[in-house]
Amino acid sequence: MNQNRIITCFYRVALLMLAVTGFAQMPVFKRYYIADIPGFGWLAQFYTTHILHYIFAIVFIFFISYFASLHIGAGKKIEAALFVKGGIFLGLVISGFFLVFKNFPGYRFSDLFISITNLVHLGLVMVLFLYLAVLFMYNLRNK
Amino acid sequence: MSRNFSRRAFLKGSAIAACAVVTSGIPEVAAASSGEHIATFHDLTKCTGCGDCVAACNEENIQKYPDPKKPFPKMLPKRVSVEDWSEQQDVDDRLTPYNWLYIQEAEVETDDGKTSVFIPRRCMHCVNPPCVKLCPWGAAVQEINGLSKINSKTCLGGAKCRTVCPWGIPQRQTGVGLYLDILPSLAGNGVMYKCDRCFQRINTGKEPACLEACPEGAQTMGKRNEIIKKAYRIAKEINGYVYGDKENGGTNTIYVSPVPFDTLNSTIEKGKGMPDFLYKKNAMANGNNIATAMFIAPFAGIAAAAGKFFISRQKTSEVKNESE
Repeated sequence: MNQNRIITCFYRVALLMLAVTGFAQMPVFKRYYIADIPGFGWLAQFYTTHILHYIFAIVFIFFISYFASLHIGAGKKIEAALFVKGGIFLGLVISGFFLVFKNFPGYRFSDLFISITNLVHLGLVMVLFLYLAVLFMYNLRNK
Repeated sequence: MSRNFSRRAFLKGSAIAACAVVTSGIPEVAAASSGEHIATFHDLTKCTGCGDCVAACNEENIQKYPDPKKPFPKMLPKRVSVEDWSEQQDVDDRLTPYNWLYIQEAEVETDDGKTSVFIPRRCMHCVNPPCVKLCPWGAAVQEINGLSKINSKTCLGGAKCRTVCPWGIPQRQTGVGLYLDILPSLAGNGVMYKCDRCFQRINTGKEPACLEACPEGAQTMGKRNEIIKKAYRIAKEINGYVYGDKENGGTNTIYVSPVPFDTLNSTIEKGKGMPDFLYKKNAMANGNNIATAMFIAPFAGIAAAAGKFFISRQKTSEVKNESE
């Protein structure tokens, strides 16, 4: 496996784990028996998934800044598909930034702002996965 | 009114009353406007367990209590339990959606023999409250003065706040709230309830109902740093112990007891809706420590890309040189 493949693999794992640990912030995995599956009990532990979400967010932010810098540095054209993906990523990072920031002691935002930010963050993840699914299908068709 | 009640006496009395009202309101208002937290001090040597605070809390907050619609929606999957306190609204020996404050009793041995220590228990109003910070919907909020409350209009009753609360304070009532209008069988399960420090009173410069009702003056309220100083001063005077200053990274409810809290904890009844008195490590600290690294990640990514770019350029120029 070459270096690029390893990096892509890490990036994809980070993205997947971000989605899983992000959904785990809602009390759904226990309710729907997923946390009962052997090895998945941690999905119902909110503090564990909270920390893991942060760790994978660090990995993810590192990779998107890395890939974006390489792309821009090489002077490559930003195609429409990449523009959409970049926009979603940027939205996720910005909304996530506020959600992380509010967790520090002494920082508070209005409940309406937090509710909207939470919904934007969750909504963008859903849009991203929808987009990736469509892209996957499109690529499959054109192969 | 007494016949001897002179104008001077009236003015003097009015001035004293006005001062009393103003000074009782000052800490809350001043703290709120400066962004400083307000805290409550509980002197357990004074509490007699009369229950006046519990009655006052109920009276003040009755209009906020849930009024569930029955029958409850069929919950899916079946493991989702209904939590219904509407038929047990009189329960006052634990926290419920209809009882946000209760008195714990600890029987302890002292030099004078067996004695009872009475402890009013409610939300601790943490300085950095996990219930607020980790609510996935933003239904829980912390006010600028440090009090935390749950918005019953937006809470879905998932009870995450109770799970992440080091004391398990918020209590759920099924059959009420926003979830009924979304997917009542599949998501949500009611609304979470807990002490909100009578925010409606504090906002108008009044003290919380429990504090005002205490006949022994066992509770006082003020700016957090002043309350902390007072708590340690009194603890030193009585050779006592402080709880709530360091727990969960700091709370806005400070208890002073003549008996170690470990001893109190070993004798009080504990369980669901009955918080303990154990030391609690800062629940949000690990996450927040990791979060600081998040701010470095984009710069690390850019640096890594720059490194790769530099290496590949160098390699290209080496190849060019060799071919020449």
